[in-house]
Amino acid sequence: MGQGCSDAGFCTMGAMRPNQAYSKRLKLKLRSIEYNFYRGQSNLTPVIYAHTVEFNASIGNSISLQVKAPFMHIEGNLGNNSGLGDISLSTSRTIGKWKEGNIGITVGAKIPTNNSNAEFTSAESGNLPADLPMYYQTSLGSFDLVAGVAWINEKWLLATGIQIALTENKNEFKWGEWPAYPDPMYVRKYDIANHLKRGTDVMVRIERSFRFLNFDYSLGLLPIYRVSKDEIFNTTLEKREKVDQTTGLALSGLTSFGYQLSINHGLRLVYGYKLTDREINPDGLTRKNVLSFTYAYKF
Amino acid sequence: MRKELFFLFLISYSVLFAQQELYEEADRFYAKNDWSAAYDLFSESSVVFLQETKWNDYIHCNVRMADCLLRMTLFQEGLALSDSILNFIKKWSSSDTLMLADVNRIKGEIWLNLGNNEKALEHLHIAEKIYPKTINLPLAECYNLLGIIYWNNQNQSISRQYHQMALEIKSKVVGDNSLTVADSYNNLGLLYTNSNPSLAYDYFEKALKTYENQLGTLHPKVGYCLINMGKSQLNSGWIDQAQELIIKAELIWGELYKYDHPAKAFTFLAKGEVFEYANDQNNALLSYETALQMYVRLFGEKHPEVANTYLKIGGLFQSKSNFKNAVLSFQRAIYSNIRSPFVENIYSITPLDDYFNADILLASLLSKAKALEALHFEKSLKIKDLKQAIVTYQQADTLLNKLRTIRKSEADQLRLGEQSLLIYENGIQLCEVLALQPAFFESYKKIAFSFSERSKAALLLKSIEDTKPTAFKGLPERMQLQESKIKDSLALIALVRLKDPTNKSYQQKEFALNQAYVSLQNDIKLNYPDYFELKYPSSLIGLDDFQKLLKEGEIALTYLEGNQSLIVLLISSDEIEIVVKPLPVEYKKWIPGLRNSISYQLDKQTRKISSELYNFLLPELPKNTSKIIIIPDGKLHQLPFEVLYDITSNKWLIENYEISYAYSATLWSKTITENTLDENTGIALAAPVEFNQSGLVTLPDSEKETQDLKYLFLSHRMPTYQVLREKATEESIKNANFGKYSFLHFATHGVVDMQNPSRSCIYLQPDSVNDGQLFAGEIYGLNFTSKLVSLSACETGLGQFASGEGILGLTRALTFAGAKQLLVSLWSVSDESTAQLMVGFYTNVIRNNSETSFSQALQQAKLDLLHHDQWKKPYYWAPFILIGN
Repeated sequence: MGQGCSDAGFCTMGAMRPNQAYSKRLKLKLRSIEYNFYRGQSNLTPVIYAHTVEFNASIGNSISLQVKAPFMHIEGNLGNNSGLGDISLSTSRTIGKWKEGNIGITVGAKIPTNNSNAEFTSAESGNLPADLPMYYQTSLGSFDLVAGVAWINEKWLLATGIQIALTENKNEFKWGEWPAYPDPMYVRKYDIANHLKRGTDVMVRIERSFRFLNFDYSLGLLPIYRVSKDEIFNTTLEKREKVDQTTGLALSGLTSFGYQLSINHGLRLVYGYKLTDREINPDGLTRKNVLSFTYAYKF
Repeated sequence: MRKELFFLFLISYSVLFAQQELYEEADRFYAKNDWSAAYDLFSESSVVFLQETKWNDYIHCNVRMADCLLRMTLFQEGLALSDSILNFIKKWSSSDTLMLADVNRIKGEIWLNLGNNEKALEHLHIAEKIYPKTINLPLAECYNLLGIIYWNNQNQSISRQYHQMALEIKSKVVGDNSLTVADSYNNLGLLYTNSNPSLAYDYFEKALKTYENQLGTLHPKVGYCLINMGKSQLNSGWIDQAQELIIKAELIWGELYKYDHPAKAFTFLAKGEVFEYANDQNNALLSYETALQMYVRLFGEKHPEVANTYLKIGGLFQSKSNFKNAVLSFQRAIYSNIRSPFVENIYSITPLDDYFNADILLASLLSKAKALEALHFEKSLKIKDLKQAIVTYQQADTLLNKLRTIRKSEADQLRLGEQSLLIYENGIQLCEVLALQPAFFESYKKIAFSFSERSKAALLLKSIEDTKPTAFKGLPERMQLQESKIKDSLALIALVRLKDPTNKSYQQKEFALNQAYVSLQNDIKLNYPDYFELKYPSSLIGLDDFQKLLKEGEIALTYLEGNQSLIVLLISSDEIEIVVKPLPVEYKKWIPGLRNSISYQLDKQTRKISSELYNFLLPELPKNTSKIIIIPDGKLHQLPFEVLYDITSNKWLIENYEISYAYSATLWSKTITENTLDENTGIALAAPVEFNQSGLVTLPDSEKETQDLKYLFLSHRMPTYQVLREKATEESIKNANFGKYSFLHFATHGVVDMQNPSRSCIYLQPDSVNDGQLFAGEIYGLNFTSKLVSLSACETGLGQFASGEGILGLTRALTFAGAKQLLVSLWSVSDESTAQLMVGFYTNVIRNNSETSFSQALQQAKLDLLHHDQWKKPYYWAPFILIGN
């Protein structure tokens, strides 16, 4: 799901990803290439489209690698932006069994593909290039470290993970760069994310799957708690400061339907809906709802 | 005149000499394997003999000609000539029966070459009967051919006997270095190729030595022997040596046969096997396909060799994970083995009425089912693949039941049992998968249940075959013979029709036989319903009907012990759950371990193993469960589930539930009976107390036990009938008066012969007519109407266990004799505690009357012992189990 409902990407990484294959009888393939199309409606006008290519490879029965590369396109009232999104790399390992389920761990990283300082020139910006808010950026602009653990069986997936931003980005969006926008109050709804360093996120995924021979569906909850405040550079005070109300819970409900055309080919549709949100979201990681479609080729 | 006579004599002598010369010349060509030339000369000879009306010589020449046709692989011509010889013998020469035997032997060999084992058997058995049972070569050859056919039919032990008899005769007649003895070595080698390849190699080596010495290196026998040696080397893992031997054979065929020949095709198959073993799949496939094309050119598409080659090709595709092609190849293997035209649609139902070779067909069906399974799970995920796999397993099961009637030896029956286990284990597991699909929840649960029931029903047929009772439920021997004769004729006519499907006369005969068979079946069904049900247990109970019989709180646990997994069906009145568990490594040790620990009264060890078994064997039971009906399988037949120990509640299973046992849901449904007791309800008691048979100790407490029971019943004004000591004879039991009582109680020794179930017996007193051993075979013929038979004796609940078959012992025989329910023991029991338990049990039965079931009464009696300091260990209270409702 790229940078999904309200997360910075770790929810779809390795052992923490939703709708994982689990079967005692099916012969699971060792490699897969997946194409995912994602549409996310943010809390404001931007609509985020992502075309993600994902590659998974297993080494033996217990270790797997995952690489994800999204191409993103964002459209909103302030303009639009396209480009390569952050690259995700992770490795997972099955470490044991518990209650007829497997326990897996994942460590990974997100590699930024730009500094989150894409600009857009329009009449609203006085025909001058103006920095776009984080909502419009294709990259979060930071190196992130991710770790997680999950337990999965035929029916349930329980996962938890942590994502820590190691660096700050170079976003310099300012409200004043959009002098001609007809509704100044709208522009002010975009939180300032000047040289943002995101706080640490902790996620929990609870998913109930109903698996059948060649299809499955699932219902899940995805609470993500930002445990530390976001930090930006205050240009007035000329110092970095913690932003209040950036911590808290973002809760989404998810449902998915997957259909296996064969062992090699599969389709999946996922719908996510925001249930609660954080007050202030400088990173733009808020979605009212998301819809994603995936085609996976396993070999 | 003298001159004239002299000339006449000279001419006659010259003619005779010329005839003799001609015949000997033909014989020389025959010996040199120039069968074509031999045929021509025998033919010339025969014409002369015909002109001179020397019928026996004429017939003899024709027999040799038929033999030559057989060697030239002109099978149809050989059959036609054999038939005309038989007609001729009937008309002109009934005196020389040996030639009749020879013709039948040749016909048998031709049918063998045509892949029709049943037809071949028919003729060879005729020949076998005619040949004098002295040491003579034709008889040995006949034995040899019979050995080959029984080997083809997987009747390996019978085959081995025939080959060894053939070898013995041949060695005596012609010495160890003769060709015919080498043939026997070769055949014996074939028997051991898989089971003991190094022994097989030794046999082949002996044969080869003789072949090469006598025939030179360029001879078909040398070629075949080399291939056989190659195969045995391959089975020992010597690939290079195997390849070398097969190439040598190939060179021989190159010299001997310019065109297609079965030997060449056979060699390509062997080459393919070597390549496959060496994991060179491309060359393996190439070899198999070359063999296939040659076989098709030689025999056409419909032939067992063609089917067998398709089977090999399918196996190769399967190992390459090319499941689609594997399924298609197996489909072709099936259709090459039946008369119906090929249908490419793998989801169609294949008619299996007319087949050439049942074993190859069974293997093809099983392979197809497994390939469909693999196609689903490893490739397509299409539900229709799984559905078709189940249908194919069902077809294989039907065929397998037919095969049970063909198989003769116990060892071969057991092999069939293993194949049937594969069908039921895989079939139920697939049903479990499909039963999870919303569209099939119910239907596949029902099929799983029917697979389970069929796995138990197989036992019924086997018990009949094994026990061979003198009279089954009163069916006259005449009708049994009639039934058997019609079935044999039907089988034969079906085989004839394979070769000539359009022949109307055969069609009419088949129709007439079918009509006679249906009429006979109706007659049996009407007049001997018990026998009909026993012999044709097709009316197995369905899931719905079984569930209707289960009361609130009752559940049935049906077990199937597979090769890889234990399958449990948990059935209540409104639900069925299928649980599949992989068999843990320690499973094999658990039950003997538990039995030993109980036997030696090792309490801690008993609780440890029984708690492990509790966790493994018992699925989560519905909360309202009060009674469990156990339908065991395999080793579980030896386990009293009462001793399963729940470590969380610190209770034995018997403390929480009533427990009873059944052999199958169908049999259980027939045991349902009202337990209502009235003043007509009585007990018949038998206690010989002392025994003449060696090794059997006196049972002094048994007399007291029966006396106590007698007074218990009398005190409730119920009739009793007691046969004690010398009066407890077989006759007293066979007497109709004994069997009419509601309760039959035997306080005596019993023995279950694990190797030979029909020798299982109950010990009684001998008399002038009987030996005092009431064998299982005799029990089948008895007619009980009792609610309960108790065997207060040692290990009477055990029996022979056969994989995929179940357990065979006294209990089976008693059930068929009419006992609705049985109380038997699983291990040697203490005389005193048994008496306590029995008295307690019957007291509970009588006191509570209809308000309590036998299982409740037994539960209470066991709990009384369990709470008694002296008898609290499972050794005392656990051995007796109740079979029935």
